[in-house]
Amino acid sequence: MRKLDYGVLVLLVLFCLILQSTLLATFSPGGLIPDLILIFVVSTALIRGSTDGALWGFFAGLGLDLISSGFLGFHSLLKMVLGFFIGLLEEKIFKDNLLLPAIVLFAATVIHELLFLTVAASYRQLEVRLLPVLSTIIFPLSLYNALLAPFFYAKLLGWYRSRSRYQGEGRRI
Amino acid sequence: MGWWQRYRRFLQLAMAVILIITAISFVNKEKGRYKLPETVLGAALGPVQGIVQGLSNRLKGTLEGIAELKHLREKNRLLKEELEQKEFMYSLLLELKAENARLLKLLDLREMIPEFETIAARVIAREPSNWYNAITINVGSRQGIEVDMPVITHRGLVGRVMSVDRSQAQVLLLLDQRSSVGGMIQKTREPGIVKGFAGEEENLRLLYLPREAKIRAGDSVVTSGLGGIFPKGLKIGSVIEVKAEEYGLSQYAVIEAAADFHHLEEVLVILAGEGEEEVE
Repeated sequence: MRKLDYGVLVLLVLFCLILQSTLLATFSPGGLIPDLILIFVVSTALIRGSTDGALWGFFAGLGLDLISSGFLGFHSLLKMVLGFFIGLLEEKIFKDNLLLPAIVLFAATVIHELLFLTVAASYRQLEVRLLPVLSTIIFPLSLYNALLAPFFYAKLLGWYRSRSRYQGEGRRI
Repeated sequence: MGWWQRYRRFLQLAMAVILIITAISFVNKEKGRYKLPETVLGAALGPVQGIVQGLSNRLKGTLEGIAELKHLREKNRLLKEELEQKEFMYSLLLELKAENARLLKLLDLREMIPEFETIAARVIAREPSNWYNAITINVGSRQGIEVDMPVITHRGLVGRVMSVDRSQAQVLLLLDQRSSVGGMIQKTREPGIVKGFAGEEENLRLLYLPREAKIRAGDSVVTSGLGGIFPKGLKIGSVIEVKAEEYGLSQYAVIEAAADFHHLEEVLVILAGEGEEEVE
């Protein structure tokens, strides 16, 4: 990875942020907005491991915090933690299986939303009854994210591979 | 005979011509009446002729078509381009027409509430998270926007400004769980708090209504002016149904918001007004 490659990733994050806050927030089936940033962080963690997962989780999450109306730090905190733990799976998985990111994203979204609700409730920002929102928001949203994940993941994996091959990096991904 | 040998062919041709001319004048003497051979031949050949003629026409058309193909292709390309341009213009026009209608409504609203100084703003982004309800508008502190200024559309109250940048501001929508607005039933003047419950089915409610208050579905809910943020009398929505609070000490009304939060494109921010100064 060169400096320029990080620049490409930063652009990708910015693109996701814009898309998520405009197009996807406007044409949202059932009022659901897919979390492209979460998909990016989880994909990165699965491809590159804990350190990258946590770092990108923090910075991409911070970007989301900055354009969101919620408290600064909610997204960066949660996505960093999730990025780290999902990154632990990196060495144990077969990266070419595209079902994997879908499954991980489904689980990650459920955990992310539950943690988000907990954190937001502890700051008295949100107060919802869990059972209804599980079926109206959390599960449909997880499914939505999981459906988008394989495409995003495959592209990102291909890109990372082309970068490491180009520079002859010792580490295989 | 030498001259016969020499001119035989011409003579034969001349005789044939004379014969045919005679035959023609003989046959056509009674015009309009087919004779048997013609009828038979006509009957036998007619259908085939029809088919062949049709095919010929088609072939001719095809051949001409082939000849014209290059020309037509070019023409087709030009026409297509023109059509695309026109379609683009048309959709642009439709968009402008719709925008015009919306802006006219905003203008009407502005004239309806001359006591308030307002500024029009365009929605440039929405809240990217599923749990909050907010929009970003394209006016900020440079245009005089401040935190807590009310935001409306021609339909009714939308929310209030929650944070301001130099050139943009974030607006907290009524549906957001962090939003509370002093409201009242317009007819009975029964006051309560309008709170957002985004994520739940009844996403907007008028809370803390006395148990004995008589409220019916369809009653209008407007801002009460209490709290100092919103001027009095802005339309919030209408009551869908009334429910008893837990333990039955008070009741609450489920409200259908007047503003269409999913299709917000332009809004008005109320900069200052008499109502605001009154309550301050």
